[in-house]
Amino acid sequence: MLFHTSAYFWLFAITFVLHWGVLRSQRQRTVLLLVSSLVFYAHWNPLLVLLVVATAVYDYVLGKRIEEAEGSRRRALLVAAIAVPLGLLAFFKYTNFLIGTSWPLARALGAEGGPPILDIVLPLGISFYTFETIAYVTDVYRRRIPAERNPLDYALFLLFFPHLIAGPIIRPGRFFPQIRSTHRLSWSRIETGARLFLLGLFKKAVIADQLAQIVDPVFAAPEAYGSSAVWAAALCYAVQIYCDFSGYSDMAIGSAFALGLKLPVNFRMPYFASSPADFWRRWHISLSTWLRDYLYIPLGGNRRGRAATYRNLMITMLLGGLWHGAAWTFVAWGAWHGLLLAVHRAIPWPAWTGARVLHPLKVAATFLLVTIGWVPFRAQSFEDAATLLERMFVPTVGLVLEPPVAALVAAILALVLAAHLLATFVDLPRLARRLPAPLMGGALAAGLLLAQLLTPDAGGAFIYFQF
Amino acid sequence: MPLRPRPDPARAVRILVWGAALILLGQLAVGFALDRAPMWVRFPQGEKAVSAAARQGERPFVAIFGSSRFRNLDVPAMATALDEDLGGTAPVLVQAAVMAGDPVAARFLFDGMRERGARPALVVLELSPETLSAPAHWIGDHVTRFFTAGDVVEHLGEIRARGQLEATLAKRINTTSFYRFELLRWITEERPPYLRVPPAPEARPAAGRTVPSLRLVSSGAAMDAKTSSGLRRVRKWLADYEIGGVASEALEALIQRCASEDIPLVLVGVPVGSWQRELYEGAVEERFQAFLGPLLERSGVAFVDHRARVPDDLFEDNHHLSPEGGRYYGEILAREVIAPRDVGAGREVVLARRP
Repeated sequence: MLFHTSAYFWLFAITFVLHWGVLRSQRQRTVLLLVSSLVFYAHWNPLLVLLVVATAVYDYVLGKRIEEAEGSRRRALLVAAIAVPLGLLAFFKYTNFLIGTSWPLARALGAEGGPPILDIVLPLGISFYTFETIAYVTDVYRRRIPAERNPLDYALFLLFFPHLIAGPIIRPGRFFPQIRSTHRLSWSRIETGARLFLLGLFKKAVIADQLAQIVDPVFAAPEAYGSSAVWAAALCYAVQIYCDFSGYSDMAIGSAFALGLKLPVNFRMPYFASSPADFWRRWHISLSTWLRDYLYIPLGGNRRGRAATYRNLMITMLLGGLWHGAAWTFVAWGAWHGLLLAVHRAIPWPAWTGARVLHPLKVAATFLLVTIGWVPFRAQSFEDAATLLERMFVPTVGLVLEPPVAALVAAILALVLAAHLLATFVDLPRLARRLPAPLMGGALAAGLLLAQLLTPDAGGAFIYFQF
Repeated sequence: MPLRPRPDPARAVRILVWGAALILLGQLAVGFALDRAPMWVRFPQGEKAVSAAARQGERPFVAIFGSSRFRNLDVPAMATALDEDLGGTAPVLVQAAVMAGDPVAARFLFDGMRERGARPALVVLELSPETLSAPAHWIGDHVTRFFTAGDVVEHLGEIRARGQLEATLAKRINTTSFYRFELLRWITEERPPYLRVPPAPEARPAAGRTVPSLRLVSSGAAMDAKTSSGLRRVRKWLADYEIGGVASEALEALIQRCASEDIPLVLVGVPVGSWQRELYEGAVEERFQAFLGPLLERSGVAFVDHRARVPDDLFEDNHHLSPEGGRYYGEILAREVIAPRDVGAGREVVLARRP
């Protein structure tokens, strides 16, 4: 169920009315949110909702066992609690990838024909809720949080519909206290939630889905396009994936906020980052902090010398890349970011490079490097990625955008840049407080109507749903 | 955007109320604007027919109204047949059959032609039991293409009975979303998408029109999937068959207007496959005839029943003519229905030979 569909509108509207208008206790509201979440997931696949429920039951039970156990048994239980959901993730997401990757070896051993491809349906959101369940059992193991006693609360932690499919990845320590306390209806929260949802809808429908019309054909047949078209497609993809994913996050956060629950912020204007490390503090924050806390730091972080630090950075980013998708192009994207982080860390930057006047240059350089990274991320194969990168850096003749289309693309990119600048240099919340209510209401209405009007025909699923 | 709620709930409520009210007002305003929009905005297929008629000026022309079934007529083959039969006096044929074209759509298009000063020399209207049923099968399409807010209110009962209430509300209350392409085209005079890249050579569509492949369907042959799903749909349409409502009203109004303006009109029972004709047998046919008999008697309009005139292997499915069928039946329609009415009875009609 997509956020920008009437099915979601009705599910949310019914949940909202029952949540604030009928039910009084937080217990009842938890049950309602859980039922809505099951409906939300079952709308896509009624059978696979059982997989999420089974994962929830398994780690709920093991979480309590881990809390009670000591010593090696405690560790063994942790391994079991992590291994099963990770095993499910591996099966559903990486089986065909592993078969394909190991097939040359199988052929050397006598296998014939192409690799057998299994018809496996990837359960939506499995990458996200697997990481959440790992965070839970690990935090219980580390005694950072007590094991959850209420199975419904734990199920809601995994299944809560606004974040179920593509995050933000929530932390148990921040979520459970919210569903234990009773919330009172706050119109201010609802208004903020509505604004966030509309902002996300605008990003998704008006910017991301429109830019996809430039990106998709060029990435589908890169050898046909000239350098300028390839650059346009690469820049458009950088903006598309940001607006698509941050738009989804805004809609998720806005929906949850209107229901009284706060999800973590996932993006902080990432393309205004001034270094690769800064980029990862702003991009998909709930994933990057998860990778830091549950992978990079357990690997040793930066505590065991330079070489180990670089190794840990590279392992973290490689696995982060692989988490995005079962293809070597995603691993290459992770390797590129690992390399950027390591090189940026290794260079002894002289003091003058910190001058404010150089900040725009650093932002531009970081954006350029990140955009280059998006090429293998989006490309369908290494050959395509190589063709695209070659055409970006070696002037090549080919199909180009027509001038009016190029102007429209430039206008959209300029709009996104202007919005970033506005959000950086203007205190928008303060400005919003000063505007008369009818004007703010008018802005909300105009945003929705404009988003509806400009939603393209082919607009649809969010990019991160596939991960 | 920070999530810190602003401590002014009254203002938040005012913003939300203003927002909701303006959204609703905006949607309704767009709906009313679309009601007054030129025909090409909501109903480009209808506009094409009406403007083709309007282009004829003083030249006599035959307006052929109907649904997708008459759209498959091979009009050039019909014109050739008329030329052969009538020589220089053959009238122009205006293909005014549209998708979901029942008498309601025909009346709307006829009115549109008259408004623009076009006067058909002959009106040919496709008819079959399902195009007269109440509630009208294609009322949802009429809501989309030409019903105004007033029409929707007037026919709300029939819209609801056809199970189109939710869709109709979506069209009238979520108008900006439903009609976004029409609105963009109206505003910019260009069809979206606006962000287009030239297609890569291998992605270019093959030159020339794709001709749908022929599927042979005959009485003795096994039914293909398209035919059987089409029959299922028609069987559903004909369950609890009643005639009345907006479709029969439109037919009567059209007959009346043609009579008052002295424009000859002929009703043609549209050819359908034998499997579909079986669905007409019994109560459906009785009610169809019970409605049609008095109407024809009252109005003096002719009904030419061609429902069984085309063999099954000239259909693509249960009731759509194949390209060969369109050519075959087009010649029959031209020679048996149009030619005699234009030049008077008694002329020898040469039947088209089966291809």
